[in-house]
Amino acid sequence: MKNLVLSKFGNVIATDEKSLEIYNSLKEIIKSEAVKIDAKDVTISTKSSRLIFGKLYKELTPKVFLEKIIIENASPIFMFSINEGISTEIEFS
Amino acid sequence: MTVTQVNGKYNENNISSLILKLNFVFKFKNKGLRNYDFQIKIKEKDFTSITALTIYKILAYSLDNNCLKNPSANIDEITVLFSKFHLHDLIKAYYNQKDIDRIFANIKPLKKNDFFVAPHPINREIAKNKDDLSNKYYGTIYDYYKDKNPEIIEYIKTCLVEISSNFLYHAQNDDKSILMAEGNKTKVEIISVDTSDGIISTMREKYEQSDNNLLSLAFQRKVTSKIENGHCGTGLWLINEIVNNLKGKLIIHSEGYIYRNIRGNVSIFASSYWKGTIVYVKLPITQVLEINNFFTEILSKEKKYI
Repeated sequence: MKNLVLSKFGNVIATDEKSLEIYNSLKEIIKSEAVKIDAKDVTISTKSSRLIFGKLYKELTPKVFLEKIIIENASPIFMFSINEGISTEIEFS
Repeated sequence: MTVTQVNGKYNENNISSLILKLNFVFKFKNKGLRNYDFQIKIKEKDFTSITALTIYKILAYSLDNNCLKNPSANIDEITVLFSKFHLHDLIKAYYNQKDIDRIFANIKPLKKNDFFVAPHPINREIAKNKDDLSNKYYGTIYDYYKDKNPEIIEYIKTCLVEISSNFLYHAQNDDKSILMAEGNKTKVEIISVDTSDGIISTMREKYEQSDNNLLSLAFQRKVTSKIENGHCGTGLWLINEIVNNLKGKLIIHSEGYIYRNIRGNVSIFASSYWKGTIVYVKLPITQVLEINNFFTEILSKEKKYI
């Protein structure tokens, strides 16, 4: 399992460009192994949550997503944002 | 010579009076009217950040859209006032129409022991620079609150992120706006003023309702005019809930209406016309247990994907 410190991308994730960069990094890692994401001190917009985690959830299927992606050290509002991004992607696209 | 005189004290509660004095410029797009003079005679202690950004955006709109041709002003006094928010060089640059882009991109925060003022340029190009955002802007806020109340930082940052994200993707034709955070040990205020398409115009792209209802609709969860472009429609709802749970204040002016949430009491009413959106958020620096529980409870009641 690979460890990924999310704050290396910045402590705020809010632009489409940054979202794409993180999405591509995660996609590359999970080709070969699972990833443990350390979300300490990172704030993410709901839009970026949808562009990264919503998209991956849909592409991978729920089972594979949960096997491959683990999030740690996340605040309640970070987890809310991720959940909101995934649910919106499933509901509206 | 037509003289616009601005004096007195304006804050988030009466900013519509200031708007009423200045919003005539929105009617003069590409008219290039001459012989206009602005006399800003506000005492330094009464010069609030929402006043500063409103006057700055009127000046920028007037000149960028050729509303007024070479307006005159008591620029030396105005420059002193804007130095309170580290925006004096930008005001001078606009007034002299020289070096605006460079100075805009290099706005810096001001840190003192008992307070900070953090203005930040918001446009698509500058937002791509993560070091600039992390170190200069969020770093200032983190440094100030890390020992006082570290858990509140996440909520301040979330408001800043959702306001700037909303601005970046909805206000496409405004590239000279500023997001300001100003704080001390008891409160933080966040202000954004833009002169792009306002909330009502944006919502009208998708929904057919009265202006009043469109503004109200924008605060509902998962309502957005741009759901197909990757948005969630959660930004304004989320800011509103943070304000509710921390018992703060949220005031939004947009296109002739005001949305006001004072410690959870919401009202919407007609007001003086502002082209674009003015956002004001005040959060008390308080315990976060209640708001953490609020988001944990949402996750426990709704379908949990992760």
